[in-house]
Amino acid sequence: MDQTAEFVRLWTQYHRDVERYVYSMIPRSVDAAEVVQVVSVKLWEKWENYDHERPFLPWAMRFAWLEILKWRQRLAREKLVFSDELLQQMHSTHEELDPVMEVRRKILSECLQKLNEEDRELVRLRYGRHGAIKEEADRTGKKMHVLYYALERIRVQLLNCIEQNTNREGIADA
Amino acid sequence: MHSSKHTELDNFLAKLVDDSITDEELTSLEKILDGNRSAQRRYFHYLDLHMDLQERVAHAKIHSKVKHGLSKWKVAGIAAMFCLWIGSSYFAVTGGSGSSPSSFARITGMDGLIEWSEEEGSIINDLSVGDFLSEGTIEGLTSNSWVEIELNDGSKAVISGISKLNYYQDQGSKVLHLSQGYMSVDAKAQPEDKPMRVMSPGARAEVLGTQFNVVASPQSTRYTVNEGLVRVKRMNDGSVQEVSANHYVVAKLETQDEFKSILLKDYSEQWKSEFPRDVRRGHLYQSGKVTGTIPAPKALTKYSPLAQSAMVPYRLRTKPCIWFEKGRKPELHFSVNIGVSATSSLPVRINENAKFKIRGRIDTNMFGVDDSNFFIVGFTSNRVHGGFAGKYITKEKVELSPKDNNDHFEIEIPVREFLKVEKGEFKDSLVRVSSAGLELLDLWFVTYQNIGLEIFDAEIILKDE
Repeated sequence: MDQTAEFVRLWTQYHRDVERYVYSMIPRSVDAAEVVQVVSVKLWEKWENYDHERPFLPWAMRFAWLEILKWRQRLAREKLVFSDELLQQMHSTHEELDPVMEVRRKILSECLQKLNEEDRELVRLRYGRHGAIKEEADRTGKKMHVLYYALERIRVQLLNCIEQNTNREGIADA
Repeated sequence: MHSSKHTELDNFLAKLVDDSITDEELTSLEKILDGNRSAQRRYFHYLDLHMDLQERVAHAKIHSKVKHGLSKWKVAGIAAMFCLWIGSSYFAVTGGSGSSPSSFARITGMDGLIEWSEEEGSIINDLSVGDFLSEGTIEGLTSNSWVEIELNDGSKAVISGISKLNYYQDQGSKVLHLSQGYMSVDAKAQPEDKPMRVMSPGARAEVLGTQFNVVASPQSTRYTVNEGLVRVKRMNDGSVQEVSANHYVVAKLETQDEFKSILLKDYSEQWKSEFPRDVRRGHLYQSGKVTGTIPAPKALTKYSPLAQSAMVPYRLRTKPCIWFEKGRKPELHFSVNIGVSATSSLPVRINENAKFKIRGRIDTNMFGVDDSNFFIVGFTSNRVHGGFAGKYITKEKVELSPKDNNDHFEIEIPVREFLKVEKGEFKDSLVRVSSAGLELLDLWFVTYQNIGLEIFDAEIILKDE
C-alpha cells in the first residue's frame, strides 16, 4: 500500500478518537473541529517521520495534545477555556480513562435499549438535526427548557446504566 | 450513586454540551473539576456519551444486512477530503423502522468524492456506478461531487455539491431527508396513502409523482417544482403550500416571513453575501477575535443579524485542509466557502454581463509566504432544472501596499473570466464555456499557502451598473 493510502486508512480509522479527545479538552464543537483540522494537517506534514512499527493513535494524540496547548495559548485571555493547570490534570485523567472508554461505548448500546420510546425519540431529535428540538416544542406545545431537562435526565440515566454495568463486570475507572 | 453526587456537575455539563453555559457557570465548572479526579472522570464520561449519541444518531439504524460486495476499508487510492469530514454539525436523522433489509437503491451515476454510511457507522467511500445500497446516508463531500441513485421503484434522486441525503422506508413510504445541499428528484407515481416524504431543515413535503429540486441550508429549504405538485409544510408554524409546476417556495426555520408559492420566473441576478448566514466554511471573525459561536456581542443581540453585521463587520478567514484525490499528490490548501442560492431567498442565476465584486484582506505579516497576493476564486453551478452543471474558477492577483499599511483589497471579476473545470483522470483542464443562465450555488476562495486571506463580503453586480 502506498504511503498516502496508508495515511488515509489510519486517519479514517482513528480520526473520531482524536476528535473525541479534542472535544473533551476544548468543549466547543466549532473550535474543537478547527483544532482537529490542524492536527490532521500536522500529521500529514510529519507523516514521513512516523514509525510504522508503533501504533498510530498515540502518535496522533500527541499532536492533538500539542495543538490543544497552542490553542489554549492563543485564547489564554478568554474565560472560555480551562486554565493551564486544569488542562494538564484533565490530560492525565484522560490517559487513565482511555482503556475503559471503548468498553463503556459498547455498554451504551444495551443501555439505549432500556430507554422508553419517548426518550429514545427525544435523543434522536436532539442529535439528529439542528432545530429539531424547537420544532418538537412547537409541535407538542412543550417548553424548550422542559425538553432540555428531559435530555439531561436521559443522559444521567444512561451514565448510571453504564456505571452499573461496568461495576457488574468488574471494569472500573482508574 | 453518581446521580446525586454529581447533580450540580451534571447540570453544568448538560449546559456545556447544549451550548447554553454562561461564563460564570463555566468558571464554576472549572472550580468543581480542579483537583477532583472523580469529577474529571464524570466530565469525560459525559462528553464521551454526548459524542457517542451524536455519532449513533448520525450513522446508526441503517438497516444494512447485505453488504453487496462493498469492502469496508478499500482505501488504497481513494479520494478523501478531510476538511469536510471533520466538524460537520449537519447530522442526518435516520428515523423510520419496519424496513426491508434488501437493497433499496442503486448508484446510476456519480463523480467527485462520495461517501456512504451504513450500519454501525462504517463509512464506505470507494463507491462505483452500479453499486447497490441499502437504506443509509449518502454524502457529496466536495463542491464538484454529484451522485444519482435510483430507488427500487424507479424514482431517481441526484444530490450535488456538498450535500447529505439520508434515505429509507418508513411504514411503506419512501423518505428522503436532505440535511444539507442540493437535491433533484424525479419521483415515480407513489401510492396515494403512502406518498414519498421529503424532509429538510424547516420543511416537510409529500410527493405523489413529480420532478422537483430541493436546496437545503441549515436554516432554510427551497423547493422548486418543475412537474406535478408538491405539498410543502413549513415546520415552524405548520402552514402548508401546494407548489405546482414552475413554482417554488422557501421555508425558513426561524423567521415568520410569508410562506407562499412563487412563480419560477422570479429569480435574482444580483446578490450580496450576508455573514454568518452564508458561511459554509472558514473562520468567522468579528471585533478582531475568532469565535466558535454566533459571535454577536450581547449588546447587539436585539438587532437583526444584518444590523449586527453592519455595526461590527464580519470577516471570513481561510481554513486549512488536506485534499487527497485519486492518482494525485495530496495538497494542502486554505479555503473559504460562501453559500449563494442555498441561503438566498431567491434563486440566483448567472447573467453573462455580471461580475463579482469582492472585498477582503490579505495578512501581509504571514511568515515565509511567497505569492502572498495570489488566490483562486471559484463557484459551483447547477442547471436551473436540477443537476450539477460545473465548477468554474479564475486566478486573481491583487495589488497591495504593505508599506502604506494597506492590506485591504477590492476587486471586480467579470463572470466571463471564469473557466470551467473539466475533470480528467489525473489532471483537470480549464475550458472556456459560458456559465450564463446557470444557477449559482456557492462561491469559494482557495490559496495553496497560508496568506491569511479574509473575505469581508462578496456580491454579484450587473456590469453596466
